[in-house]
Amino acid sequence: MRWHIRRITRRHKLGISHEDIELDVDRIRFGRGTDVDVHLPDLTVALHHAEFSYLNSSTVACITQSRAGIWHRGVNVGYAELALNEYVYIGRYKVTFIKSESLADVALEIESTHIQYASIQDPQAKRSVQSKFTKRRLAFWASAAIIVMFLILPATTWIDPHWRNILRRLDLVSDAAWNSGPLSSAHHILASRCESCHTKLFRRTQNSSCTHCHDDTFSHASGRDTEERCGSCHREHNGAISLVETDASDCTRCHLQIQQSKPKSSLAVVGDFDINHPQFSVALPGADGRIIRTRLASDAVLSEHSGLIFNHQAHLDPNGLKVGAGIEQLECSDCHRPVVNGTSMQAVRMEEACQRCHRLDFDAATTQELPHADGEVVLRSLREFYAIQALSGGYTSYVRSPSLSTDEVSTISSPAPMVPDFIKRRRPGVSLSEPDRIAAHRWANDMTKYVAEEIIRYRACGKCHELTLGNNHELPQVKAVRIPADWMPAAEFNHAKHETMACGDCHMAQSSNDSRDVLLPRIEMCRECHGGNVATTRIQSVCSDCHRYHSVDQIAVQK
Amino acid sequence: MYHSFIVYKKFYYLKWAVLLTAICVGLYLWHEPPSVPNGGSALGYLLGSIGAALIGWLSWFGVRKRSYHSTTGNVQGWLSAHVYFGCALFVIATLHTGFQFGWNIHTLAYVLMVVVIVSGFVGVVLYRLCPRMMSEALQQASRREILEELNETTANILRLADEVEGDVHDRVLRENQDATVGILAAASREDSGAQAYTGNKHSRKTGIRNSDDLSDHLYRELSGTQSPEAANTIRALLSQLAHKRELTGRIGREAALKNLLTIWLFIHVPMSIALIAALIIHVVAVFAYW
Repeated sequence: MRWHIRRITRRHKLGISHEDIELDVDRIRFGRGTDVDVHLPDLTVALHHAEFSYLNSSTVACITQSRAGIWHRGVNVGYAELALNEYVYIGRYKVTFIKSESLADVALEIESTHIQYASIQDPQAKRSVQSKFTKRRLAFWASAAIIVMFLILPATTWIDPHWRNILRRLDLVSDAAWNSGPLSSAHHILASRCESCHTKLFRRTQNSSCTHCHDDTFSHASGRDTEERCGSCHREHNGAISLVETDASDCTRCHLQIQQSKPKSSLAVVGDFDINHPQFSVALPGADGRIIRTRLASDAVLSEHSGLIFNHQAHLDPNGLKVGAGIEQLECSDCHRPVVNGTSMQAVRMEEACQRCHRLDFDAATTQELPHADGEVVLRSLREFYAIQALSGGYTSYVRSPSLSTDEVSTISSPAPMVPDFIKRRRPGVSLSEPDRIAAHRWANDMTKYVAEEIIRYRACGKCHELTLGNNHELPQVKAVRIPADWMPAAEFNHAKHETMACGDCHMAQSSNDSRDVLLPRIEMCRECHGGNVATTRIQSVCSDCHRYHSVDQIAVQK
Repeated sequence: MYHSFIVYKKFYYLKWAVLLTAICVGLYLWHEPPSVPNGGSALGYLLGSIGAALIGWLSWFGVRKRSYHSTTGNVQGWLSAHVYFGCALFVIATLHTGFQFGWNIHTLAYVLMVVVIVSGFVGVVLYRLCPRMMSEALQQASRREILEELNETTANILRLADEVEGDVHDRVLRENQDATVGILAAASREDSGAQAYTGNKHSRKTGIRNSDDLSDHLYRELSGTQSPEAANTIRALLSQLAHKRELTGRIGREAALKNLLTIWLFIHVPMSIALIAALIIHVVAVFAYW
């Protein structure tokens, strides 16, 4: 085996010089000793450091006998195979396997490097350039990953619905990554369908997206299409809080300067419940019979004209009332009963609230009571009763029912019609003659009118109802009862939420002896517990606590 | 004066950053947001705009510190402002979130921002601690002086080792391979970058072990030798080896500390670029799905 050994010396400015020798050995030995083939005279080399042997035309092997080893591809090894132009370090000598230019089988190039034992050069100078982890690369790949995952991929969901569905199964890399927060519980089913509300990119959600489902929801003041954005009050993507939790500023944006947006409006300026909220505008039956919205006032005395005569004070007498044989003390709830869910009060019905004491009996001859009904029905009942008495006989004389007061009966001018003898007494099996029948009919009519006038005017109806007196020959008429179904049409008051209060805390019924007294509480009474938007010592109360934006009544009517 | 950016102009920028933060916190406390605190309220947009502007300006520091001809302030002042307004950004951006977090690009941008700020904190702490520890490690000498001494010592060791009988020289060469700073390690730098300079964990450990083995071997040789000259040589060799170990340890500690001074930047800089990308997407996404 013929080895070609070339020693290179680099000289500054003088270029490279080299010295060639050729050796004919099987294995060529390198070392600092005297008995080696290639002498490397430096203390960094062991006496017998390494041997090269020929493997094939493009590979040589280098094996070391020294503990110091050789450096190959940056690693200290005991054995290395070199391809063409590869090198190893033996001590400070760089030995490169080069292509032979002569007749030799193998050529090795030896270069003595001027390596210091320790480098003075700053090792970090080259570091960031050489390392794979440069700041620039890290920055590039991190940004690229973020842009692809969270901008490009989500943006492609708008190109094709099928692709969108595929991406959304991967969740984070779809437009779900753009979701700013969980939807309210009502809209949760739309969580992965952004396009159902965000119909146009870079445009705020449109009302049409909302009315696509909520097309029955009524507008507030102007037409639905010209109205505010639904989203200006109903703020989504804030999690499970209610979408109806609206802020006072949503309302006061307009209502603080209502005159500017609606110059013709008669609405009062409203800002804060505590500071600028007008007195309640309640529905009151006026003297002319119409129910009109009237604003309560803390000083002015208002009166309602319901057509009823009632003395709260007398009924709530702390000493109790005579009921039958005993004494009973009435409470508000004996007459005023809440509706099933307790939010409001049922209308007071005479049969349930009053008739237990105020019986509608009319004649001691019977325990039958008159119906609490229209005048026609009452008259028919009376006529039927006396006609039956006249036809079947046995009715002796008219005696007033003892439960009825007799104070004003004395003012009745005419006495009760005389009972004909054939009505008082009759032989069984004998038919009435024609004149008797006519007399019986007349008597029944006379009795009806007589008892009716007495009952309407003095004893039953007129006790509680206002009457319209006719001329001498006509019966008095009961005036229509006008009690508003909703005393506060523009607001919702929930009695159930105020069950910790006593009725008398708000309604001054205890001291009212006139049914024209307005017993609805003024705003000052509410403010004892309810403060404004930023109240600290009282309940913070916002518009939506009492008022509704979308008219619920309208929805009900349309359905 | 290694921490002078902290006290720069008697905490001039600290005062402005505290003022800005205090105003933002005050606004947040005063503001009554419709529904819940949210980045989309009026104040949310304001805080978001301030935060985005701060991020842009803080990132510009990377450009400014390389603009050697710039006359807008000095780099030390810029660094001082960079640190203090970076802290302010943390508060302002947190207020901007309204404390709403989720698995989305918005929170990702926030998390990246926190990572950048926290790594910045680490940088500040390291710049306060490391330089002092580095000069302590070098014991008043410069690195160049120590490296020169190290070369000299290594040359002495190899020369002395060659004078000793047996395979001592070979063992010394072996020890050189593994030692933290060795001739062949330095040679290998061409192939494997800087790793050989400080040595990887493995070679540092084996280096110490081999060095112990070598000392043990030399003590055995010392007790076995009859010749007083040989004994003197071995003693000298042992003393030189000990000196080299001490030098190696000093330069190694110094190098490790110097590495620490740059390593935090490998998080701070790339993550701030990633943050800018996430921030842009955050703004685009918010207004795409307005």
